[in-house]
Amino acid sequence: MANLLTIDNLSKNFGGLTAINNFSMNVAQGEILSLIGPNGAGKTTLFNCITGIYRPSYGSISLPGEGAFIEKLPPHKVARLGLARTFQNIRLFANLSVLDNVLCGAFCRTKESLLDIVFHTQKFNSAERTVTARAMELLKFVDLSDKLYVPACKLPYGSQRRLEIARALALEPQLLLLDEPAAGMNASETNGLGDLIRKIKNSGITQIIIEHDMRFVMEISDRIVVLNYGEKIAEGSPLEVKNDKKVIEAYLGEGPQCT
Amino acid sequence: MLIKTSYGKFIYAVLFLAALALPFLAGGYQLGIASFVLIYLLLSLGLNVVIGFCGLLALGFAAFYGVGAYVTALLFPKLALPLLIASAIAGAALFGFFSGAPVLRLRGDYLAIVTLGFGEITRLFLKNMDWLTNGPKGISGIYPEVFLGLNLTDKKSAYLCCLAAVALCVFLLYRLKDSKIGRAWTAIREDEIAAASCGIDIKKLKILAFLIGAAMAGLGGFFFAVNQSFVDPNSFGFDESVLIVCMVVIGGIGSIPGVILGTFILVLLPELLRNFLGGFESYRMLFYGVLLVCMMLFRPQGILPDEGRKAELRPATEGIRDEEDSNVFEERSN
Repeated sequence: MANLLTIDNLSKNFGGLTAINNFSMNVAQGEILSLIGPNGAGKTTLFNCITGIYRPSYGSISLPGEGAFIEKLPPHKVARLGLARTFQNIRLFANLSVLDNVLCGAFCRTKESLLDIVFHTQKFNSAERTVTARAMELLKFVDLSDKLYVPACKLPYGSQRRLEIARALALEPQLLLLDEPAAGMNASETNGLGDLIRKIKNSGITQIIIEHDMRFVMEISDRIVVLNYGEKIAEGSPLEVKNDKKVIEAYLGEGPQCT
Repeated sequence: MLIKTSYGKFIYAVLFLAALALPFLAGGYQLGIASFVLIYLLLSLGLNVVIGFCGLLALGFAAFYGVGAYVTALLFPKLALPLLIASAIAGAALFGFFSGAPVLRLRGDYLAIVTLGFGEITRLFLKNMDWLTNGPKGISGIYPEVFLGLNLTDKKSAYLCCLAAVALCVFLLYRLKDSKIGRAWTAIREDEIAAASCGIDIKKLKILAFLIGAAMAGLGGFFFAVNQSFVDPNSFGFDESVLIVCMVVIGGIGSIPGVILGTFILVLLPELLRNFLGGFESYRMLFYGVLLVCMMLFRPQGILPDEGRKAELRPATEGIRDEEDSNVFEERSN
Protein backbone atom coordinates (compact mmCIF):
# COMPACT_ATOMS: atom_id res chain seq x y z
CA MET A 1 0.00 0.00 0.00
CA ALA A 2 1.19 3.48 -0.80
CA ASN A 3 2.07 5.89 1.94
CA LEU A 4 -0.48 8.54 2.70
CA LEU A 5 1.53 10.43 5.28
CA THR A 6 5.27 10.47 5.89
CA ILE A 7 6.92 11.98 8.93
CA ASP A 8 10.69 12.42 8.79
CA ASN A 9 12.97 13.16 11.73
CA LEU A 10 10.37 15.29 13.40
CA SER A 11 11.33 17.15 16.58
CA LYS A 12 9.39 19.60 18.67
CA ASN A 13 10.92 21.59 21.52
CA PHE A 14 9.15 23.81 23.98
CA GLY A 15 11.98 25.91 25.32
CA GLY A 16 14.29 23.37 26.88
CA LEU A 17 11.74 20.57 26.87
CA THR A 18 11.85 18.13 23.99
CA ALA A 19 8.32 16.86 23.47
CA ILE A 20 9.10 14.92 20.31
CA ASN A 21 12.58 13.78 19.44
CA ASN A 22 13.65 12.73 15.97
CA PHE A 23 10.46 10.88 15.22
CA SER A 24 9.78 9.20 11.88
CA MET A 25 6.88 7.13 10.68
CA ASN A 26 4.85 6.24 7.63
CA VAL A 27 1.11 5.85 7.48
CA ALA A 28 -0.18 3.57 4.74
CA GLN A 29 -3.30 4.31 2.74
CA GLY A 30 -6.38 2.84 4.37
CA GLU A 31 -4.86 1.51 7.59
CA ILE A 32 -5.79 2.14 11.19
CA LEU A 33 -2.65 3.15 13.02
CA SER A 34 -2.76 3.50 16.79
CA LEU A 35 -0.44 5.75 18.68
CA ILE A 36 0.08 4.67 22.27
CA GLY A 37 2.39 5.60 25.09
CA PRO A 38 2.34 6.73 28.70
CA ASN A 39 0.94 10.16 29.59
CA GLY A 40 3.18 12.96 28.41
CA ALA A 41 4.83 10.82 25.76
CA GLY A 42 4.12 13.43 23.09
CA LYS A 43 1.17 11.84 21.30
CA THR A 44 -1.08 14.87 21.25
CA THR A 45 1.89 17.11 20.46
CA LEU A 46 2.46 14.94 17.42
CA PHE A 47 -1.18 15.42 16.38
CA ASN A 48 -0.82 19.16 16.85
CA CYS A 49 2.30 19.15 14.65
CA ILE A 50 0.58 17.13 11.93
CA THR A 51 -2.50 19.35 11.86
CA GLY A 52 -0.56 22.61 11.82
CA ILE A 53 -1.48 23.84 15.29
CA TYR A 54 2.18 23.56 16.30
CA ARG A 55 5.05 24.23 13.98
CA PRO A 56 7.68 21.50 14.30
CA SER A 57 11.19 22.55 15.38
CA TYR A 58 12.87 20.20 12.90
CA GLY A 59 11.88 17.62 10.38
CA SER A 60 9.21 17.30 7.76
CA ILE A 61 5.68 16.01 7.39
CA SER A 62 4.45 15.26 3.91
CA LEU A 63 1.61 13.79 1.92
CA PRO A 64 3.44 11.88 -0.83
CA GLY A 65 0.24 11.39 -2.81
CA GLU A 66 -0.29 15.15 -3.03
CA GLY A 67 3.39 15.96 -3.26
CA ALA A 68 2.81 18.41 -0.42
CA PHE A 69 4.89 19.27 2.63
CA ILE A 70 2.58 20.36 5.38
CA GLU A 71 4.82 21.08 8.37
CA LYS A 72 4.76 24.83 7.77
CA LEU A 73 1.11 25.22 6.79
CA PRO A 74 -1.46 26.89 9.07
CA PRO A 75 -4.20 24.58 10.42
CA HIS A 76 -6.92 25.58 7.96
CA LYS A 77 -4.71 24.80 4.98
CA VAL A 78 -3.78 21.42 6.42
CA ALA A 79 -7.48 20.75 6.92
CA ARG A 80 -8.20 21.66 3.31
CA LEU A 81 -5.73 19.00 2.18
CA GLY A 82 -8.02 16.47 3.84
CA LEU A 83 -6.63 16.03 7.34
CA ALA A 84 -9.44 16.14 9.89
CA ARG A 85 -9.15 15.63 13.61
CA THR A 86 -10.94 15.38 16.90
CA PHE A 87 -9.66 16.66 20.23
CA GLN A 88 -8.76 15.06 23.52
CA ASN A 89 -10.95 17.51 25.43
CA ILE A 90 -13.95 17.63 23.15
CA ARG A 91 -13.99 20.92 21.27
CA LEU A 92 -17.39 21.31 19.72
CA PHE A 93 -19.01 24.65 18.98
CA ALA A 94 -20.98 24.42 22.17
CA ASN A 95 -23.85 26.80 21.41
CA LEU A 96 -24.32 25.77 17.80
CA SER A 97 -26.82 23.06 16.98
CA VAL A 98 -25.70 19.54 16.18
CA LEU A 99 -26.45 20.10 12.50
CA ASP A 100 -24.62 23.44 12.37
CA ASN A 101 -21.56 21.85 13.95
CA VAL A 102 -21.37 19.37 11.11
CA LEU A 103 -22.06 22.12 8.54
CA CYS A 104 -19.07 24.05 9.94
CA GLY A 105 -16.96 20.98 9.29
CA ALA A 106 -17.90 21.20 5.62
CA PHE A 107 -16.94 24.89 5.45
CA CYS A 108 -14.22 24.53 2.83
CA ARG A 109 -16.11 22.00 0.73
CA THR A 110 -18.53 24.51 -0.76
CA LYS A 111 -17.43 27.42 -2.88
CA GLU A 112 -20.21 29.99 -2.83
CA SER A 113 -19.04 33.61 -2.85
CA LEU A 114 -20.26 36.58 -0.86
CA LEU A 115 -22.48 37.61 -3.76
CA ASP A 116 -24.02 34.15 -3.96
CA ILE A 117 -24.85 34.43 -0.28
CA VAL A 118 -26.36 37.90 -0.55
CA PHE A 119 -28.50 37.15 -3.60
CA HIS A 120 -29.29 33.52 -2.74
CA THR A 121 -28.24 32.42 -6.20
CA GLN A 122 -28.76 28.98 -7.63
CA LYS A 123 -25.20 28.15 -6.62
CA PHE A 124 -25.87 29.11 -3.00
CA ASN A 125 -29.09 27.14 -2.83
CA SER A 126 -27.66 24.01 -4.36
CA ALA A 127 -24.52 24.23 -2.21
CA GLU A 128 -26.60 24.60 0.97
CA ARG A 129 -28.83 21.72 -0.07
CA THR A 130 -25.95 19.39 -0.88
CA VAL A 131 -24.03 20.18 2.23
CA THR A 132 -27.08 19.85 4.48
CA ALA A 133 -28.01 16.52 2.91
CA ARG A 134 -24.47 15.30 3.45
CA ALA A 135 -24.50 16.49 7.06
CA MET A 136 -27.77 14.63 7.67
CA GLU A 137 -26.24 11.51 6.20
CA LEU A 138 -23.22 11.80 8.47
CA LEU A 139 -25.39 12.37 11.51
CA LYS A 140 -27.32 9.25 10.63
CA PHE A 141 -23.99 7.46 10.27
CA VAL A 142 -23.00 8.40 13.83
CA ASP A 143 -26.54 7.82 15.06
CA LEU A 144 -27.47 11.40 15.97
CA SER A 145 -30.24 12.06 13.42
CA ASP A 146 -32.82 12.62 16.13
CA LYS A 147 -30.84 15.50 17.72
CA LEU A 148 -30.33 17.82 14.73
CA TYR A 149 -31.38 21.05 16.41
CA VAL A 150 -30.11 20.41 19.93
CA PRO A 151 -27.19 22.66 20.98
CA ALA A 152 -24.03 20.57 21.05
CA CYS A 153 -23.35 21.31 24.71
CA LYS A 154 -26.64 19.66 25.69
CA LEU A 155 -25.61 16.26 24.32
CA PRO A 156 -24.40 13.50 26.61
CA TYR A 157 -20.68 12.84 26.58
CA GLY A 158 -20.60 9.83 24.28
CA SER A 159 -22.78 11.62 21.72
CA GLN A 160 -20.48 14.64 21.81
CA ARG A 161 -17.57 12.38 20.89
CA ARG A 162 -19.55 10.97 17.98
CA LEU A 163 -20.62 14.44 16.87
CA GLU A 164 -17.00 15.51 16.81
CA ILE A 165 -16.25 12.58 14.54
CA ALA A 166 -19.16 13.54 12.27
CA ARG A 167 -17.86 17.09 12.10
CA ALA A 168 -14.43 15.81 11.14
CA LEU A 169 -15.91 13.53 8.47
CA ALA A 170 -17.81 16.48 6.98
CA LEU A 171 -14.43 17.79 5.86
CA GLU A 172 -14.29 14.78 3.51
CA PRO A 173 -10.89 13.82 4.87
CA GLN A 174 -8.42 11.34 3.51
CA LEU A 175 -6.85 11.06 6.94
CA LEU A 176 -8.76 11.18 10.21
CA LEU A 177 -6.88 11.79 13.46
CA LEU A 178 -8.78 10.73 16.57
CA ASP A 179 -7.39 11.91 19.90
CA GLU A 180 -8.58 9.51 22.61
CA PRO A 181 -12.00 8.84 21.12
CA ALA A 182 -12.89 6.27 23.75
CA ALA A 183 -11.88 8.35 26.77
CA GLY A 184 -14.65 8.44 29.34
CA MET A 185 -16.85 5.97 27.49
CA ASN A 186 -18.41 2.92 29.07
CA ALA A 187 -17.96 -0.59 27.63
CA SER A 188 -20.97 -0.55 25.33
CA GLU A 189 -20.21 2.95 24.05
CA THR A 190 -16.65 1.82 23.33
CA ASN A 191 -17.94 -1.14 21.35
CA GLY A 192 -20.17 1.17 19.35
CA LEU A 193 -17.18 3.40 18.70
CA GLY A 194 -15.18 0.40 17.47
CA ASP A 195 -17.90 -0.40 14.97
CA LEU A 196 -17.97 3.21 13.84
CA ILE A 197 -14.22 3.30 13.30
CA ARG A 198 -14.37 0.09 11.28
CA LYS A 199 -17.14 1.54 9.14
CA ILE A 200 -15.03 4.65 8.55
CA LYS A 201 -12.14 2.42 7.54
CA ASN A 202 -14.36 0.55 5.08
CA SER A 203 -15.28 3.85 3.46
CA GLY A 204 -11.60 4.21 2.59
CA ILE A 205 -10.47 6.77 5.15
CA THR A 206 -7.10 6.27 6.81
CA GLN A 207 -7.09 6.79 10.57
CA ILE A 208 -4.55 7.53 13.27
CA ILE A 209 -5.90 6.95 16.74
CA ILE A 210 -4.45 7.94 20.10
CA GLU A 211 -5.96 5.73 22.75
CA HIS A 212 -5.28 4.41 26.23
CA ASP A 213 -7.86 1.62 26.29
CA MET A 214 -5.54 -1.27 25.41
CA ARG A 215 -8.17 -3.86 24.68
CA PHE A 216 -9.78 -1.44 22.25
CA VAL A 217 -6.44 -0.60 20.64
CA MET A 218 -5.44 -4.24 20.21
CA GLU A 219 -8.79 -5.05 18.63
CA ILE A 220 -9.02 -2.22 16.20
CA SER A 221 -5.48 -1.45 15.02
CA ASP A 222 -3.71 -2.67 11.93
CA ARG A 223 -0.49 -1.30 13.30
CA ILE A 224 0.68 0.31 16.52
CA VAL A 225 3.38 2.88 17.15
CA VAL A 226 4.57 3.32 20.73
CA LEU A 227 5.93 6.63 21.95
CA ASN A 228 7.80 7.29 25.18
CA TYR A 229 9.47 10.59 26.14
CA GLY A 230 8.91 11.82 22.60
CA GLU A 231 10.71 8.93 20.94
CA LYS A 232 9.42 5.95 19.07
CA ILE A 233 10.24 2.86 21.07
CA ALA A 234 8.33 0.23 19.12
CA GLU A 235 6.27 -0.24 16.00
CA GLY A 236 4.42 -3.21 14.58
CA SER A 237 1.32 -5.34 14.64
CA PRO A 238 -0.67 -5.45 17.88
CA LEU A 239 0.81 -8.83 18.72
CA GLU A 240 4.40 -7.69 18.20
CA VAL A 241 3.92 -4.58 20.27
CA LYS A 242 2.21 -6.45 23.07
CA ASN A 243 5.25 -8.64 23.56
CA ASP A 244 7.86 -5.96 23.07
CA LYS A 245 10.17 -5.70 26.07
CA LYS A 246 10.68 -1.96 25.80
CA VAL A 247 6.94 -1.35 25.68
CA ILE A 248 6.32 -3.40 28.79
CA GLU A 249 9.09 -1.50 30.55
CA ALA A 250 7.67 1.85 29.51
CA TYR A 251 4.29 1.00 30.90
CA LEU A 252 5.16 -1.09 33.93
CA GLY A 253 8.70 -0.07 34.75
CA GLU A 254 11.68 -2.40 34.54
CA GLY A 255 11.20 -5.99 35.60
CA PRO A 256 12.68 -7.25 38.86
CA GLN A 257 16.43 -7.31 38.71
CA CYS A 258 17.70 -10.87 39.11
CA THR A 259 21.10 -11.02 40.67
CA MET B 1 -34.25 32.79 13.96
CA LEU B 2 -36.74 35.58 14.20
CA ILE B 3 -36.92 36.58 10.58
CA LYS B 4 -37.58 33.03 9.48
CA THR B 5 -40.88 32.87 11.31
CA SER B 6 -43.84 34.70 9.81
CA TYR B 7 -44.29 36.31 13.23
CA GLY B 8 -40.82 37.85 13.02
CA LYS B 9 -41.38 39.05 9.47
CA PHE B 10 -44.63 40.63 10.55
CA ILE B 11 -42.92 42.59 13.32
CA TYR B 12 -40.23 43.81 10.96
CA ALA B 13 -42.88 44.84 8.41
CA VAL B 14 -44.85 46.77 11.03
CA LEU B 15 -41.72 48.50 12.30
CA PHE B 16 -40.67 49.43 8.80
CA LEU B 17 -44.08 50.84 7.87
CA ALA B 18 -44.25 52.81 11.11
CA ALA B 19 -40.80 54.23 10.42
CA LEU B 20 -41.85 55.03 6.87
CA ALA B 21 -44.95 56.91 8.02
CA LEU B 22 -43.17 58.80 10.79
CA PRO B 23 -41.83 61.81 8.84
CA PHE B 24 -45.32 62.55 7.56
CA LEU B 25 -46.88 62.44 11.01
CA ALA B 26 -44.30 63.70 13.46
CA GLY B 27 -42.75 67.10 14.01
CA GLY B 28 -39.16 68.20 13.55
CA TYR B 29 -38.05 67.24 17.07
CA GLN B 30 -39.36 63.67 16.79
CA LEU B 31 -37.88 63.33 13.32
CA GLY B 32 -34.49 64.42 14.65
CA ILE B 33 -34.57 61.74 17.33
CA ALA B 34 -35.78 59.11 14.86
CA SER B 35 -32.89 60.02 12.57
CA PHE B 36 -30.50 59.40 15.42
CA VAL B 37 -32.10 56.03 16.12
CA LEU B 38 -31.43 55.07 12.52
CA ILE B 39 -27.85 56.33 12.55
CA TYR B 40 -27.13 54.44 15.75
CA LEU B 41 -28.77 51.35 14.27
CA LEU B 42 -26.15 51.36 11.53
CA LEU B 43 -23.44 51.62 14.18
CA SER B 44 -24.78 49.05 16.63
CA LEU B 45 -25.70 46.51 13.96
CA GLY B 46 -22.23 46.96 12.48
CA LEU B 47 -20.54 46.47 15.82
CA ASN B 48 -22.77 43.46 16.38
CA VAL B 49 -21.09 41.75 13.43
CA VAL B 50 -17.73 42.21 15.13
CA ILE B 51 -18.65 41.55 18.75
CA GLY B 52 -21.74 39.43 18.33
CA PHE B 53 -21.22 37.26 15.30
CA CYS B 54 -17.47 36.90 15.44
CA GLY B 55 -16.79 37.39 19.16
CA LEU B 56 -14.17 40.12 18.81
CA LEU B 57 -14.44 42.67 21.57
CA ALA B 58 -13.64 45.92 19.75
CA LEU B 59 -13.79 49.10 21.83
CA GLY B 60 -12.77 51.78 19.37
CA PHE B 61 -15.68 51.48 17.03
CA ALA B 62 -16.42 55.21 16.97
CA ALA B 63 -13.22 55.66 14.95
CA PHE B 64 -14.85 54.11 11.88
CA TYR B 65 -17.91 56.26 12.45
CA GLY B 66 -15.64 59.30 12.58
CA VAL B 67 -13.76 58.34 9.43
CA GLY B 68 -17.05 57.98 7.55
CA ALA B 69 -18.24 61.36 8.79
CA TYR B 70 -14.97 63.17 8.05
CA VAL B 71 -14.66 61.63 4.58
CA THR B 72 -18.14 63.00 3.90
CA ALA B 73 -17.26 66.41 5.34
CA LEU B 74 -14.10 66.68 3.26
CA LEU B 75 -15.33 65.31 -0.03
CA PHE B 76 -18.90 66.55 -0.32
CA PRO B 77 -18.08 69.54 -2.54
CA LYS B 78 -16.13 67.36 -4.95
CA LEU B 79 -18.21 64.21 -5.36
CA ALA B 80 -21.70 63.37 -6.52
CA LEU B 81 -23.91 61.82 -3.87
CA PRO B 82 -23.55 58.09 -4.74
CA LEU B 83 -19.77 58.47 -4.96
CA LEU B 84 -19.75 60.37 -1.70
CA ILE B 85 -21.64 57.58 0.07
CA ALA B 86 -19.37 54.99 -1.51
CA SER B 87 -16.25 56.83 -0.42
CA ALA B 88 -17.51 57.23 3.16
CA ILE B 89 -18.15 53.48 3.30
CA ALA B 90 -14.90 52.59 1.54
CA GLY B 91 -12.86 54.99 3.68
CA ALA B 92 -14.15 53.48 6.90
CA ALA B 93 -13.78 49.93 5.57
CA LEU B 94 -10.20 50.56 4.47
CA PHE B 95 -9.44 52.06 7.84
CA GLY B 96 -11.02 48.98 9.41
CA PHE B 97 -8.88 46.74 7.28
CA PHE B 98 -5.60 48.48 8.09
CA SER B 99 -6.28 48.84 11.78
CA GLY B 100 -7.75 45.34 11.98
CA ALA B 101 -5.28 43.26 10.01
CA PRO B 102 -2.34 43.60 12.41
CA VAL B 103 -4.30 43.27 15.66
CA LEU B 104 -6.91 40.61 14.98
CA ARG B 105 -4.63 37.82 16.13
CA LEU B 106 -5.06 39.17 19.63
CA ARG B 107 -7.96 37.86 21.62
CA GLY B 108 -10.39 39.01 24.26
CA ASP B 109 -9.12 41.72 26.57
CA TYR B 110 -5.97 42.36 24.58
CA LEU B 111 -7.94 43.11 21.44
CA ALA B 112 -10.24 45.36 23.46
CA ILE B 113 -7.30 47.43 24.71
CA VAL B 114 -5.64 47.72 21.31
CA THR B 115 -8.86 48.76 19.56
CA LEU B 116 -9.53 51.25 22.35
CA GLY B 117 -6.10 52.69 21.65
CA PHE B 118 -6.80 52.91 17.95
CA GLY B 119 -10.05 54.70 18.65
CA GLU B 120 -8.30 57.31 20.78
CA ILE B 121 -5.50 57.76 18.25
CA THR B 122 -8.07 58.43 15.56
CA ARG B 123 -9.85 61.01 17.68
CA LEU B 124 -6.57 62.76 18.48
CA PHE B 125 -5.62 62.81 14.82
CA LEU B 126 -8.93 64.38 13.92
CA LYS B 127 -8.39 66.92 16.66
CA ASN B 128 -4.81 67.84 15.82
CA MET B 129 -4.51 67.61 12.05
CA ASP B 130 -5.68 71.17 11.60
CA TRP B 131 -4.66 71.40 7.95
CA LEU B 132 -7.02 68.58 7.04
CA THR B 133 -9.74 68.42 9.65
CA ASN B 134 -9.81 72.00 10.90
CA GLY B 135 -8.89 70.68 14.37
CA PRO B 136 -11.20 70.95 17.36
CA LYS B 137 -13.34 73.53 15.61
CA GLY B 138 -14.63 70.87 13.27
CA ILE B 139 -16.05 71.29 9.80
CA SER B 140 -19.39 72.95 9.27
CA GLY B 141 -21.70 73.60 6.35
CA ILE B 142 -21.89 70.06 5.02
CA TYR B 143 -24.60 70.30 2.39
CA PRO B 144 -24.21 67.67 -0.30
CA GLU B 145 -25.44 68.59 -3.75
CA VAL B 146 -28.83 67.55 -5.00
CA PHE B 147 -28.57 64.34 -7.00
CA LEU B 148 -31.39 63.32 -9.37
CA GLY B 149 -33.87 65.27 -7.30
CA LEU B 150 -32.67 63.73 -4.05
CA ASN B 151 -31.82 66.51 -1.64
CA LEU B 152 -30.30 65.19 1.56
CA THR B 153 -30.20 68.60 3.23
CA ASP B 154 -33.93 68.09 3.57
CA LYS B 155 -34.37 66.25 6.87
CA LYS B 156 -37.22 64.10 5.61
CA SER B 157 -35.32 62.85 2.57
CA ALA B 158 -32.25 62.20 4.65
CA TYR B 159 -34.33 60.25 7.14
CA LEU B 160 -35.96 58.13 4.46
CA CYS B 161 -32.61 57.45 2.82
CA CYS B 162 -31.16 56.37 6.14
CA LEU B 163 -34.18 54.14 6.74
CA ALA B 164 -33.61 52.46 3.39
CA ALA B 165 -29.94 51.94 4.30
CA VAL B 166 -30.84 50.39 7.66
CA ALA B 167 -33.44 48.09 6.07
CA LEU B 168 -30.91 46.97 3.46
CA CYS B 169 -28.29 46.33 6.14
CA VAL B 170 -30.69 44.28 8.27
CA PHE B 171 -31.55 42.20 5.23
CA LEU B 172 -27.87 41.67 4.37
CA LEU B 173 -27.01 40.76 7.94
CA TYR B 174 -29.67 38.06 8.05
CA ARG B 175 -28.42 36.69 4.75
CA LEU B 176 -24.87 36.57 6.07
CA LYS B 177 -25.86 35.12 9.39
CA ASP B 178 -27.71 32.23 7.76
CA SER B 179 -24.85 31.24 5.52
CA LYS B 180 -21.61 29.39 5.85
CA ILE B 181 -19.94 32.69 6.67
CA GLY B 182 -22.27 33.26 9.61
CA ARG B 183 -21.68 29.72 10.82
CA ALA B 184 -17.93 30.17 10.47
CA TRP B 185 -18.07 33.39 12.52
CA THR B 186 -19.94 31.60 15.27
CA ALA B 187 -17.45 28.76 15.11
CA ILE B 188 -14.58 31.23 15.56
CA ARG B 189 -16.40 32.83 18.47
CA GLU B 190 -16.91 29.46 20.13
CA ASP B 191 -13.53 27.85 19.53
CA GLU B 192 -10.83 29.21 17.25
CA ILE B 193 -8.67 26.12 17.21
CA ALA B 194 -11.51 23.79 16.36
CA ALA B 195 -12.66 26.27 13.71
CA ALA B 196 -9.23 26.30 12.09
CA SER B 197 -9.18 22.52 12.16
CA CYS B 198 -12.44 22.58 10.19
CA GLY B 199 -10.64 24.40 7.40
CA ILE B 200 -11.93 27.86 8.34
CA ASP B 201 -9.49 30.65 7.57
CA ILE B 202 -9.78 32.46 10.88
CA LYS B 203 -7.82 35.54 9.93
CA LYS B 204 -9.70 36.13 6.71
CA LEU B 205 -13.11 35.78 8.33
CA LYS B 206 -12.20 38.03 11.24
CA ILE B 207 -11.05 40.69 8.81
CA LEU B 208 -14.27 40.27 6.85
CA ALA B 209 -16.29 40.85 10.02
CA PHE B 210 -14.21 43.94 10.79
CA LEU B 211 -14.64 45.23 7.24
CA ILE B 212 -18.40 44.81 7.26
CA GLY B 213 -18.73 46.39 10.69
CA ALA B 214 -16.51 49.31 9.73
CA ALA B 215 -18.34 49.82 6.44
CA MET B 216 -21.67 50.08 8.26
CA ALA B 217 -20.15 52.54 10.72
CA GLY B 218 -18.84 54.56 7.78
CA LEU B 219 -22.34 54.72 6.35
CA GLY B 220 -23.59 55.81 9.77
CA GLY B 221 -20.89 58.51 9.74
CA PHE B 222 -22.10 59.75 6.38
CA PHE B 223 -25.66 60.14 7.62
CA PHE B 224 -24.45 61.80 10.80
CA ALA B 225 -22.43 64.38 8.88
CA VAL B 226 -25.34 65.11 6.54
CA ASN B 227 -27.88 65.19 9.35
CA GLN B 228 -25.85 67.60 11.51
CA SER B 229 -24.19 69.39 8.58
CA PHE B 230 -21.33 69.67 11.05
CA VAL B 231 -18.64 67.33 12.41
CA ASP B 232 -16.11 67.74 15.21
CA PRO B 233 -13.71 65.29 16.87
CA ASN B 234 -15.65 65.10 20.12
CA SER B 235 -18.53 63.27 18.46
CA PHE B 236 -16.31 60.26 17.88
CA GLY B 237 -14.62 59.69 21.22
CA PHE B 238 -14.51 56.89 23.70
CA ASP B 239 -17.95 57.77 25.11
CA GLU B 240 -19.45 57.08 21.74
CA SER B 241 -17.71 53.70 21.44
CA VAL B 242 -18.94 52.71 24.88
CA LEU B 243 -22.46 53.80 24.04
CA ILE B 244 -22.48 51.55 20.95
CA VAL B 245 -21.13 48.61 22.94
CA CYS B 246 -23.91 49.21 25.49
CA MET B 247 -26.54 49.04 22.77
CA VAL B 248 -25.23 45.69 21.61
CA VAL B 249 -24.84 44.23 25.09
CA ILE B 250 -28.18 45.38 26.47
CA GLY B 251 -30.18 44.15 23.50
CA GLY B 252 -28.45 40.79 23.27
CA ILE B 253 -25.00 40.16 21.83
CA GLY B 254 -25.30 38.58 18.40
CA SER B 255 -29.06 38.97 18.15
CA ILE B 256 -30.26 41.34 15.42
CA PRO B 257 -33.70 42.09 16.97
CA GLY B 258 -32.00 42.43 20.34
CA VAL B 259 -29.52 45.01 19.10
CA ILE B 260 -32.31 46.95 17.41
CA LEU B 261 -34.20 47.05 20.69
CA GLY B 262 -31.07 48.02 22.63
CA THR B 263 -30.45 50.90 20.25
CA PHE B 264 -34.02 52.15 20.61
CA ILE B 265 -33.74 52.06 24.37
CA LEU B 266 -30.44 53.87 24.61
CA VAL B 267 -31.32 56.60 22.14
CA LEU B 268 -34.81 57.22 23.44
CA LEU B 269 -34.12 56.92 27.16
CA PRO B 270 -31.96 60.04 27.49
CA GLU B 271 -34.61 62.01 25.63
CA LEU B 272 -37.35 60.78 27.95
CA LEU B 273 -35.20 61.48 30.99
CA ARG B 274 -34.03 64.85 29.76
CA ASN B 275 -36.37 66.74 32.04
CA PHE B 276 -35.69 64.65 35.13
CA LEU B 277 -32.69 64.68 37.41
CA GLY B 278 -31.86 68.27 36.49
CA GLY B 279 -30.41 67.26 33.12
CA PHE B 280 -29.77 63.61 32.54
CA GLU B 281 -26.82 64.46 30.32
CA SER B 282 -24.43 64.91 33.24
CA TYR B 283 -25.25 61.48 34.70
CA ARG B 284 -25.17 59.67 31.39
CA MET B 285 -21.92 57.78 31.74
CA LEU B 286 -22.71 56.81 35.32
CA PHE B 287 -26.04 55.47 34.15
CA TYR B 288 -24.48 53.41 31.34
CA GLY B 289 -21.92 51.99 33.71
CA VAL B 290 -24.54 50.89 36.22
CA LEU B 291 -26.70 49.53 33.43
CA LEU B 292 -23.85 47.43 32.03
CA VAL B 293 -22.95 46.03 35.43
CA CYS B 294 -26.59 45.15 36.10
CA MET B 295 -26.94 43.48 32.73
CA MET B 296 -23.83 41.40 33.33
CA LEU B 297 -25.08 40.37 36.76
CA PHE B 298 -28.71 39.63 35.99
CA ARG B 299 -29.10 39.02 32.29
CA PRO B 300 -25.77 38.64 30.50
CA GLN B 301 -27.45 37.28 27.38
CA GLY B 302 -29.33 40.57 26.84
CA ILE B 303 -33.01 41.46 26.68
CA LEU B 304 -33.71 39.61 23.42
CA PRO B 305 -30.94 37.02 23.35
CA ASP B 306 -29.66 35.28 20.29
CA GLU B 307 -31.19 31.86 19.89
CA GLY B 308 -28.98 29.03 21.03
CA ARG B 309 -26.71 31.32 22.92
CA LYS B 310 -28.15 31.63 26.35
CA ALA B 311 -25.00 32.61 28.13
CA GLU B 312 -21.83 33.77 26.50
CA LEU B 313 -20.07 33.94 29.85
CA ARG B 314 -18.50 30.56 29.86
CA PRO B 315 -19.08 27.98 32.55
CA ALA B 316 -16.15 27.35 34.85
CA THR B 317 -15.46 23.88 33.45
CA GLU B 318 -14.04 25.43 30.33
CA GLY B 319 -11.06 26.75 32.23
CA ILE B 320 -9.00 23.75 31.19
CA ARG B 321 -9.62 24.49 27.58
CA ASP B 322 -8.64 28.11 27.97
CA GLU B 323 -5.40 27.06 29.56
CA GLU B 324 -4.69 24.79 26.63
CA ASP B 325 -5.55 27.65 24.31
CA SER B 326 -3.15 30.06 25.89
CA ASN B 327 -0.30 27.58 25.42
CA VAL B 328 -1.23 27.10 21.82
CA PHE B 329 -1.45 30.79 21.11
CA GLU B 330 1.89 31.48 22.70
CA GLU B 331 3.21 28.72 20.56
CA ARG B 332 1.76 30.11 17.33
CA SER B 333 3.04 33.59 17.94
CA ASN B 334 6.63 32.40 18.44
